[in-house]
Amino acid sequence: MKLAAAVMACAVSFAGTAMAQQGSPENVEVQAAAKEAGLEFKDSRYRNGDDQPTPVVTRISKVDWATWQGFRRYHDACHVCHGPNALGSTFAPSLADSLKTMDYETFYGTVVGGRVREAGGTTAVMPAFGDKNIMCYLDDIYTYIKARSLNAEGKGGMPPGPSEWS
Amino acid sequence: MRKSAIACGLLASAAFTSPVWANADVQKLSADPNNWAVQSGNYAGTRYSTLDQINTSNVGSLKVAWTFSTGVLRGHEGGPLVIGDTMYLHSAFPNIVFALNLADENKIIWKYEPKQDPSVIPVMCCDTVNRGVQYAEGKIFLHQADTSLVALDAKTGKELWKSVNADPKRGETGTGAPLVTKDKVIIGVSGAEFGVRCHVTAYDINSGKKVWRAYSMGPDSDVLLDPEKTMSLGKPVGKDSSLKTWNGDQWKIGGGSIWGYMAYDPELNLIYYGTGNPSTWNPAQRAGPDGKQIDQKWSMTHFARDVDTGVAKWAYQMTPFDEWDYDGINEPILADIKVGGADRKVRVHFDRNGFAYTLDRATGELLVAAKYDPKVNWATEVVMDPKSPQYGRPQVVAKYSTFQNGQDVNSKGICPAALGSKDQQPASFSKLTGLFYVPTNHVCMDYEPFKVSYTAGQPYVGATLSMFPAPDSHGGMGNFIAWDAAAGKIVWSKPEQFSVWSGALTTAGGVAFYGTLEGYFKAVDQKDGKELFKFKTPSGIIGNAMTYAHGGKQYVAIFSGVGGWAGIGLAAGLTNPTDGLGAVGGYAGLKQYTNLGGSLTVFSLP
Repeated sequence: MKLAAAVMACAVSFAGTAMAQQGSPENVEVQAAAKEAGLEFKDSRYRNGDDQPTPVVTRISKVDWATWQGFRRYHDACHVCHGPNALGSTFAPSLADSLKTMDYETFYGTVVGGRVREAGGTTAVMPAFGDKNIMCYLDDIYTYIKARSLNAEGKGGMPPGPSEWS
Repeated sequence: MRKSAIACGLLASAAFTSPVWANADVQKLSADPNNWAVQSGNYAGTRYSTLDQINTSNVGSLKVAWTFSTGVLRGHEGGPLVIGDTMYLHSAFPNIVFALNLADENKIIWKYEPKQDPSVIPVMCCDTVNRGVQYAEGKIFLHQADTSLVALDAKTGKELWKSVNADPKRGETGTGAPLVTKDKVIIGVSGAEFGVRCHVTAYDINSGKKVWRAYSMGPDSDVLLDPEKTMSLGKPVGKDSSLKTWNGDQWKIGGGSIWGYMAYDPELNLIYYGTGNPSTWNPAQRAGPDGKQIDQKWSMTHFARDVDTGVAKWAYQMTPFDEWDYDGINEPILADIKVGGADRKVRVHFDRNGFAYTLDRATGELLVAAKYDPKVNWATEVVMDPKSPQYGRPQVVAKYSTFQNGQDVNSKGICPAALGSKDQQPASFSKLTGLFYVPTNHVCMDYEPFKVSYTAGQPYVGATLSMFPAPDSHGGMGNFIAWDAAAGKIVWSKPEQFSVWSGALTTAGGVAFYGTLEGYFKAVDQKDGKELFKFKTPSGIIGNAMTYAHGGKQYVAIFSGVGGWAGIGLAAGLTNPTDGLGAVGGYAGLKQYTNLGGSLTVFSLP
């Protein structure tokens, strides 16, 4: 109950921002790229035909608001284990790789429920996240990591933030 | 006092009890250079050995004498202890402890494997490292990841007692090595990235009972401050020195982790350690009621405390109102050197913030504060004029102030990165040269703070950052330097491709030893940094070099086993911040050089 309330609370406060960004003139290229990819802007983010959050990345690396927000939130809580740019660390897998095969529902379930895995005699543990810092931005984080997984092998980099959009 | 009086009175019958305090025992053991009886080599934390069989002229012919695998894949910090015929060593989580018989083929005498709830693993910021066990009076002390403090019988590995220091469910974890002084074993707690109000706690070495606890922030009675007698920069701290520097009750989730190596001066009866960053990393959420910077004492502080009572003798805050995650936890090193022509008893530390501080260790008087990496740019200087209202404070450059630039703004090109110009990897003070030998990071960052909310046991970070090698330099991410702590000057600097995340060792043979993240164990000349020897160990090195002698032969040893924050920040390869999403990373990842695996490699002359 608490979790659902938190998600709802942030959906209200951030929808306005996302709408404003989506309609802002400097985002025309992103909109064009989204149109070309056949994505629909719905419930504060771009979505594919299955209604799943989907990143938009232009040729010159501009991204939609959700992907950029996901970049920020990923590098807050997730990167301490899963590494910069979702490329993995010495003790947690590369999520850019994981999302090549893991679907949206499994991703969501893993973040909410956690996961324990034994590998080579060493226990790896993903905790269950339930706080606002993650849950409010889970679709954004998914979108960012999806953008990373769609990237070609071995590539790094980060999406530029709004301050760099002009 | 009571204990020593009893000991004197019962001397004849006390042969099987402990007639002396642990510090006398440890001091005696660590004075014998054949042993390595303390993680830092000695109470002063110098990591210096008088052994000189291995020296600058023959170190080039070092060979591997033997190796040992811990069987654990995570990052291995710290190192082994050697006392007589026995070596004691630990692993990363699950924190296995081994005793090896140096007199009999290095066989395993005993192995202790604690049962820990694996749910502690993901609440440890930055890998499941452990910085080593300590020894005193026939006991081995282990500070587990789940914050349990355990005393083991050094002969049998049998558990003598166990005390639980904190609660991992709130994000409280243990990584730091204990410090054993007198009849107390002292440990800190980590968790500033989870909004934990951190503390240092002393336990009785025989019973495991809590003796005193000093929080990093809060009321004077919690921080163990005497408003009149605890000094800071030559003045009493005054009443409520911590509470006055926090907005409302934010101190209750204030951070200030303690996980670096500590030091002890038996003459002054003082212990020395530093505290970490205030929670969150978003400074705007920590601003004062007037919306301005506020100091957040006593985060980012080096303390000197009385061993018996825990009360602070002095405190010095290096980075008031942190805006960059420059934890002040780096290890203090006690040395007697000439500063400004006068003999001084100092304690030197190389702060994460890029300044090296030399303070009088009896009074806390600030003697030297100087940049030990020329690329440090977030502050111009630390004001040294006692008459200035800014005395002892860093002068922050507006452009690099993540607070002045504001929430949701990306402050670019800040040096050093949150890793600091140095992290936990301990430096060494050579009595031979009078210089400090320092493993350093040469990494800068972009830092963007934003709003986060606090939930117990969940991450409470509040900033996104990307790190990259210091621009306009040698392209590498580390240096190994020699430092003059009296002059505040770099004597020489040896570039390294990756951060040097390994503790240094110096010896009377004129050699300085350290490891690299690629896995090289290196020996250099203390005089000029000339590389005399290198050997590629099985994995990247974040452990500390140590030396001992057995059967008349000197050995040098080091853990390999890549991981730690270095393993997070570098395994994936740092990228050029000017590249956009999809651009090729400008720097090769560490994973091209090394793989996981904890093991000890021991060297000797052929």
